[in-house]
Amino acid sequence: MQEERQGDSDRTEKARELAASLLMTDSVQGVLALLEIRDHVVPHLFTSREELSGLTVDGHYAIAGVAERLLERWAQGNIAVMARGCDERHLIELAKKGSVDLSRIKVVGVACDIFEAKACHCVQPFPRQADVGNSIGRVDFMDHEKLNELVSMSITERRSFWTEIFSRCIKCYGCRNACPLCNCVDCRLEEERWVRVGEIPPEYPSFHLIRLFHLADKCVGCMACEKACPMGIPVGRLNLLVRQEMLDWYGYEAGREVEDVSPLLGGALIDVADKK
Amino acid sequence: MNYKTIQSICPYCGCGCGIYLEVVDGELIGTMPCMNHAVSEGSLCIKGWAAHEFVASEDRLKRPLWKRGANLETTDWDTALNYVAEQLQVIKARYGAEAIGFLSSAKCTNEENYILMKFARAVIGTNNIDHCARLCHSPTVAGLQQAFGSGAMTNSVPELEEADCILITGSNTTETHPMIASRIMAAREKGAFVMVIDPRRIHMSNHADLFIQPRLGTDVAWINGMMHLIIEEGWEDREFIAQRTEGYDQLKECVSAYTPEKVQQITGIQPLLLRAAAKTYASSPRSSIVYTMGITEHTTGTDNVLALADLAMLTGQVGKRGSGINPLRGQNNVQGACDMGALPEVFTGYQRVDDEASNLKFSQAWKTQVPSNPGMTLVEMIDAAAAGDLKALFIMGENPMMSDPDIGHVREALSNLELLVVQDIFMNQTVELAHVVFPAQSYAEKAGTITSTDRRVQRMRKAIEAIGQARTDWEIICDLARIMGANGFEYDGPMEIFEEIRRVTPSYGGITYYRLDSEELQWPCPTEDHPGTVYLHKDTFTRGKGLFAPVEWKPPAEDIDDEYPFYLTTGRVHFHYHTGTMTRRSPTLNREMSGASADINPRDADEMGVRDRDMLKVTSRRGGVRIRARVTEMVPRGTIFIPFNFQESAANILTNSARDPISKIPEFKVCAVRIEKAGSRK
Repeated sequence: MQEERQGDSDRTEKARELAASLLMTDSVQGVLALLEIRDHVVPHLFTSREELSGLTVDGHYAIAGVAERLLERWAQGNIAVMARGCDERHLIELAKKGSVDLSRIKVVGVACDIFEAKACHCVQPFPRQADVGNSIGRVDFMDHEKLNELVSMSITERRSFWTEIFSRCIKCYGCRNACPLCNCVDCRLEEERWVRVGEIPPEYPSFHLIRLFHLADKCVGCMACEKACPMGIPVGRLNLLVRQEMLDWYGYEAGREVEDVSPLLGGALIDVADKK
Repeated sequence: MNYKTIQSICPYCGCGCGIYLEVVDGELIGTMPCMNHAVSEGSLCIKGWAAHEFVASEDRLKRPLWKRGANLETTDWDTALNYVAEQLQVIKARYGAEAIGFLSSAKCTNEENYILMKFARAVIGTNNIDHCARLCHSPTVAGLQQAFGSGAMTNSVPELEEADCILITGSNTTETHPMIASRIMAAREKGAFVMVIDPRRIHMSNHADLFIQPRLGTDVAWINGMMHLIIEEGWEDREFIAQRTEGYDQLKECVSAYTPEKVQQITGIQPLLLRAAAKTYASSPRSSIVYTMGITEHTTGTDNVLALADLAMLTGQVGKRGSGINPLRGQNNVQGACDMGALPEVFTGYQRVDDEASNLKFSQAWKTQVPSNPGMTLVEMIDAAAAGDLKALFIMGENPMMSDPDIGHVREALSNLELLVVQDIFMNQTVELAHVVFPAQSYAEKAGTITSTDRRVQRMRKAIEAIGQARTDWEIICDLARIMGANGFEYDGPMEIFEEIRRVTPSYGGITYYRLDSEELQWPCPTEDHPGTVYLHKDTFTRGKGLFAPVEWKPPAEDIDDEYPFYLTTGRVHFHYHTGTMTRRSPTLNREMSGASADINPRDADEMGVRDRDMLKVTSRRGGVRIRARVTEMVPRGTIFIPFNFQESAANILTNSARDPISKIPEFKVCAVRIEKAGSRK
């Protein structure tokens, strides 16, 4: 643990160095990263080197959505994003939807340590290129105890578990709001024809399962949804299970390459038929 | 290119959740949860997530207005301020200071409440100042003050997770205090026994280990009944009673009459369930009570609170970590508005105006003699206006034309005033009646502190520049004071005001802006090296010994009869906040719920041939509203529920203004109505 924390300050130093050199050139107008202010960590666009003493890599906000909104507002200019593996995968998925132009984003990759990976039940705690920190490589899915619990239940147990837990929902939409990818302009969850409006808990299973299936081929496993849930509903782990299914069935993982086409959108289904 | 996030506090309920306001090139574009906030820990409810939406609404008041003929017309600041200053002086000279009243605001900062309170007392010379706490937790302040010596929530929000037993009564926690419900869910996951005692089948009752549904307005009876059983079975905490309380014998005698059979007769609660509740509450190592308006908004509001305090003292369930009495405050700064002395009988920190030493202290601090006779409460000011005794009313950020009972009466009263001044951010039903309107800044445009429900003092920070010509409430009042020739209103910012507050308020003495940047501080915090107080009454009560106060059950002021055969109870809903001025201008919230509905039990609906979403006409002795039916098991037979958030079918046209004799709170929770079907759904 001591060693890891030491490594953390190294990562921060490295991140500040890289941000400083990016801001020296004119290639980017700002670096989107986390700012440590008082005892809090917030997303921030660093535009001058003087600000960089507050930059930190310790903390987790799914900031790809911020990057998307900023580029949308500013017709010109580029930014750098200090991105963990999940942030980078978000950006790739947003690029697939045409929501961000990756040529305007310089990704500075941040590798997570084992503690961060465990905290997020992450199997891929690293970006494609780790500019900051060292990649610990893939973590086996089944090493995450809390995921194992969910899959080892019987069908009956599962039904009563999820029925009870979804009925806690207070429809804050936090799971949706925290997710950079759950950002359709016309959200089905807000439509009376799918989910009766103005009721808590929202109808089960439609509310939660619509979200789950809409993200089946998009979720990159960042767990922002679960961290945002005030009622302790394991929505992130549920998505991780589906993500794993996508890998097992189709060999597909969201967030890998912009060119990858989701199997739910076409041809790959045939391959699966062959496989089975 | 500028993108920043400003740390602030959610402007809605008393939970006091941490938010970041996202600002791009000076424009407020979003709200994010604050990950490591002590209360909200990275979550928010739907209102919190939408907290930025109303701020730049087209409807914001952008210029001062004054009434010319029948219409409100725009004017400039100098004209409006000079006019109000002059009118206040004329009215004071003609009728005396007692003819002027002030309504402060639980939505404004501590600094602004302090400034208005100081203006009323030091410049005008009246103690006629009150605010909407009168309509929510005035019985709590009165009751807990009497029993313990302090009227605040005894424990902290995060501490609820450490309780072994949580008794929720008269609080629809998931809908009205979602982040506190979150803690209760977490406590239950850790093994806490959760019981809900509520006339309505609320969301939380489906997640409780025990749900008891008493009749409306029977709280003292079941609480006394629990105490009867506890004493009979020997579950009381004898050591606690002997060492820390007084008046036990009178309590014992009083509750001896409340046998389970008698309680069942009054409340409808089965003795078996009452016994289970009494046993679990008394015998768990750490039990906590959580309550809100279901307890307080009754003609017996103070009695209800006193009975709960008796129950906690009887079983020693107060003054411990995770154990105590937790009234959840409604507005983001209603605790602070009370702490700041926006009440007719106290200065800041509950120092009484009629206490010689306190009066002298404030007279010296403000260099003027302040009045020592307690002023009028909110409801009394409305009555006085109707009677012609109150001539001027100055309202800062309140909307009594929606929030007070018997709106018809309120309209008559406000229309009778010679001067009605309103400071607000939006046009609302009260602003429409004003002679002068000052446009105020919203929480996102200004800085200051608020005190959330668990006595937690927190900083709100300025995120964007003012909208239109809006100014902060404190600046407006300070300007008025200066025009009227008063000294002591020259501040360069909220921090300087806060420094004055802490000098005259012992419980805030050790709190500074600097400390608040990095520390969680809950009052009392008397000195700068004091860490603040997580839970109250640890070894001794604020008043020394806890005082038992036996109370007898009394029925509500208005009962059902042949003409008005249904009970009406009121409250608010998850997707909107109070009078709706902010939430109904938030697209996210409006999409979720765009209008009111009245909850009616399926069997009642069946008998009347009413289907879901049919139109109803609901009539009480005071007036009538048209409203859609929502057929739901949430309400018991014979009772309907109407939220007070919606002006087009305002619940408070119907409610009864009968009051609790001690705290003067009106009985919002029970009145008698008649229901007719007024049309089928479209």
